[in-house]
Amino acid sequence: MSDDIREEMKKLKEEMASLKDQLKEVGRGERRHRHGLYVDIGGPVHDYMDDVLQSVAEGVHGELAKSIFIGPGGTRIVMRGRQPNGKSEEPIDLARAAGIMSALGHEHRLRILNELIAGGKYINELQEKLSEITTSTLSSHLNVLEEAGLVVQEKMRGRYLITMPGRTAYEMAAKITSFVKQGEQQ
Amino acid sequence: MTWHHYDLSNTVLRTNERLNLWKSDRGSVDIEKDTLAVAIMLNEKSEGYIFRGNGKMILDAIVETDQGAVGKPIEQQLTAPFLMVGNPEIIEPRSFSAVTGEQDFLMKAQDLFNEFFRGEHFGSGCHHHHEGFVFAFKNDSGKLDLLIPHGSKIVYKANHLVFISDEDEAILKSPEHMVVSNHGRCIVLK
Repeated sequence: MSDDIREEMKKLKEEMASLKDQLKEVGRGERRHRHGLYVDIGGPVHDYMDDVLQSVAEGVHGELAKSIFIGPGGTRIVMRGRQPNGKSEEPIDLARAAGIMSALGHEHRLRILNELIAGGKYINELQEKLSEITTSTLSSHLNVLEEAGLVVQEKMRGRYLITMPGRTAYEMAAKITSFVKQGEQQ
Repeated sequence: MTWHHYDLSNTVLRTNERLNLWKSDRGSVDIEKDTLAVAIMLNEKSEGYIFRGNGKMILDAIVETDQGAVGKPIEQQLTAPFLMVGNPEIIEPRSFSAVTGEQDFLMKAQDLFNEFFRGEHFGSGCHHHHEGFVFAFKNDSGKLDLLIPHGSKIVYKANHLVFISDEDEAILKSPEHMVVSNHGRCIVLK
C-alpha cells in the first residue's frame, strides 16, 4: 500500500513539474505579445511577408503611375503637393484649364509643341516643319500657345521656346492618347 | 580694387537721335531722340549719364532647361530718370546743350545719383570701378532695379526677380520658381 502511495506521489510530482514548465512557457508567450513581438499571422512567415511586399509594391506602383510621365525626353518625376486627406491643395481653375485644353486642341499646335521639345526654334524653322500651313496661320497658332503659357518667345532673338507647362501639357496629351489607344485594343 | 569719387555735372544735354546704349542677344537698352542727359563725372571726365525721356529696356530673363523654358521676357518703358555707368563716349557727339526743362530734371537726377552712389548700393560716394555697364532704374516700389551686363554675363536684380546669366549657365529666382541651369541640366524649385 505504501509502495502504491509512493508511486502515486512520484507521478503527481512529475505532472506538477510538467504543468509548471507549461505555465512558464505560456508566461513567456504573453510577455512577447505584450511587447509586440508575437504576431498571429495565421500561416507560414514567408507567405505573410510575400503578402505584405505585394501590398506595398502595388501601393508604390499606383502612386508612381499618378506622378510620372514618360515622354520622348525620358522619365520625369512630377512632385505634387497634397493635403493629408489626399485632395489637391488648390481647386482647379476650370475656365483656365479649359483655355489651356483649347490651346492644345489642334493638331498643328501639338505639332508645334512637338517640334519645340527638341529645342527653341525661329518661325522660319517652324515654317519648314509645317510647310502645309501659311506663315500667318503659324503665327496665329503660336499666339494661341503663347497666350496659354505653353510657349514663350524671346524678345531679342525671336526664338520660340516650349515652357515647362507646355512640355507637361504635351506629355499629358501623349499619355492620354496612349491610354485611349490601349483601351481600344483591349 | 580702386575706389573713386563721382560727381554729377550741371550741364544738361539733349540727344539728337535714337541711341542704343547696350545690346546683346539677351537684351537691350535704347533711348529715343530728345532724351535729356546729365553726365556722371569722375576726375573731370564723364563716366556715365543719367537720362530722362522715352526709352526702353528689354531683357529675356528666360532659362532654358531640359524640362522646358522658365521665365519670361521683360520689357520696360523708361520714362522716369535712369542711370548708366559706362559707355560715356556715345552721348556727347550725338547731343546738344538743352535749353528748357533742365532744372526739374537736374533735381531728379541728383536724387537718383545720391540714391545710387550714396545709398545702399555703393555707399559714401565711392564706387568699385569695373569694365562693362551698370544701369539703375527706379521701380514702382521706389527702389532701384539693377542691370549689370559685362560681355556674355548679365546680372539683373529687380523687386521680385533675380536673373544671372552667362551663356549656357543661368540662375533665375522669381516668386514662382528658383531655377539653376547648367547647359540644359537644371534644378527647379517651386
